[in-house]
Amino acid sequence: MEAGYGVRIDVVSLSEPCSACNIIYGFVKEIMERLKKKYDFLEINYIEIKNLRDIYSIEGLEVEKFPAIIINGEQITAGTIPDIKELERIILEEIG
Amino acid sequence: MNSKELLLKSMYNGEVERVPWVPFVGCHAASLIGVTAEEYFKNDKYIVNGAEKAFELYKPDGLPVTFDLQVEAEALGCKLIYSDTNPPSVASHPLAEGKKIEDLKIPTEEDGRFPIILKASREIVKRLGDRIAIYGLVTGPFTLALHLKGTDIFYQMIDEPEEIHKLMTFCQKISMNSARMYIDTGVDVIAIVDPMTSQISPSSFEEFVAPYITPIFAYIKERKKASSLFVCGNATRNIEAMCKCQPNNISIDENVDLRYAKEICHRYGISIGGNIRLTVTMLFGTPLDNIKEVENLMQIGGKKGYILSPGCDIPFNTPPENIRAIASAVYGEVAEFMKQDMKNNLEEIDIELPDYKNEKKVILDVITLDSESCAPCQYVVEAVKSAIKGIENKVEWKEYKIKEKESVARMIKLKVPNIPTICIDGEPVYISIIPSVEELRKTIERVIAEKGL
Repeated sequence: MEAGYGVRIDVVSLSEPCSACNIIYGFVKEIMERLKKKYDFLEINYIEIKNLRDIYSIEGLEVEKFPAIIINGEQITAGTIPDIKELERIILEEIG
Repeated sequence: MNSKELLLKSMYNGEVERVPWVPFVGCHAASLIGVTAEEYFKNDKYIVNGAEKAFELYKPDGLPVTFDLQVEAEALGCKLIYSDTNPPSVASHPLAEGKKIEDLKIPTEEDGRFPIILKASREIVKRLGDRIAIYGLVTGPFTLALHLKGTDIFYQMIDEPEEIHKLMTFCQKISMNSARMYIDTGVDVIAIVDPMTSQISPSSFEEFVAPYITPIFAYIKERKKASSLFVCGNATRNIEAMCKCQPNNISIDENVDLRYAKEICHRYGISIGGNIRLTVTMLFGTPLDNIKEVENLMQIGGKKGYILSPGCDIPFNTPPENIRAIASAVYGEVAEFMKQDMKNNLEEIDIELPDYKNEKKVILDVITLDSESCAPCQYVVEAVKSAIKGIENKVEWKEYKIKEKESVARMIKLKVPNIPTICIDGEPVYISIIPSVEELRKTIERVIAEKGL
């Protein structure tokens, strides 16, 4: 696939997560790498929150549980390991 | 009863005179002694020094040796990425990369970082173990299975459940052996930390976790040690299934409602621990935010079968004054803490107290954090309002919120040690106690009579 499909994924996590969030964040990053290999047009941004103000500046972040995945401004997960098949479905829906 | 006895009594669901507290200090200990998280996790002396520093600063009733859920995984061949300010992360999953369970061996005292951790554990037990309860933290079997297998485990639970049962049988042996190794160092409590169980449904928990974790708690009991099941994340739906695994205690994080979890746990005779918010309160909040939150939690948790603790391990850069503020609330020493914390800001404030004895009314000074956001403070203010109904012409009352420095100065001048407190004519009468309306009314009427009003 070529770039330009306009699918942006924001992965939001705390810069100092607890052990549980740190483990989940590791899995989220692995899943993102697998998605990127399959869909190289994806624009994946990793946002690490360093203070409370950061939380309010993130577009689409509604549930403040981390790590959170936001696809094209819509929050998909909050503090959970995502289902890669579900993420693929959303990505394909986004590109029509 | 010393701190250790207090904590263990509470852990076995007993009633105690003060809520015990356990700050889960892991990588945060590194910041306390001025080293990186990586240096800390790889050095037994740093782990010991970090625990001693936390003991000195935070007056805990219990402490973990350390908080690292990657020790077993690393010893089994998972690659780790170390960080300066966080626990290490697992970067490879041997069972997803061609290895078979048969290729892996159960880690012993000689493998990975176990020699470091166990040496530190023995030393911490020696130095602190007569005063506070020492926790040995073991990676739970499901979290370990995820480390070894990666996220494909979730699909395999549906497609090839027998493979996951085989993996969980192996991980159970590892967790049980880690528990044994910690017990042999002399710790008091074994915590099976299985945060990834929050990612599965109650039916999956019952099928893939309960049969493997329950015998671990039975083993810990057989060795005459207390056990706890730590779960981070939204484990609300699994609390009852967790109780059925029969640990002595369950520790939850901020994603679970403490009132709800306590109700279920106590029904099973299991104590509950938790759940100070790590980020909003401990890492980013102020000391007053922390005092307010733990006052609310202690109100809900009560003095029977409740241990105050954070939801998970404390972040590296959490301000120590926030954790000291929590300790001050636990010990009823908020005034002393505020005095130290606001030393410079209080010097120029001179509070003039009324001449209580000669006032023509009974004066109630109600010292709170803020009755709008602190539940015990709210109950105290409501008790005062109800108790003075019909005698308002003989009583004058005012709430002093210690988030204002003038109120802190007043609190100190009135010799009020903790919040919420009701002072009657300048005497702290109800300190950190919510009196019944009837009792408070009688006390006020007695003072009215004594003053001849």
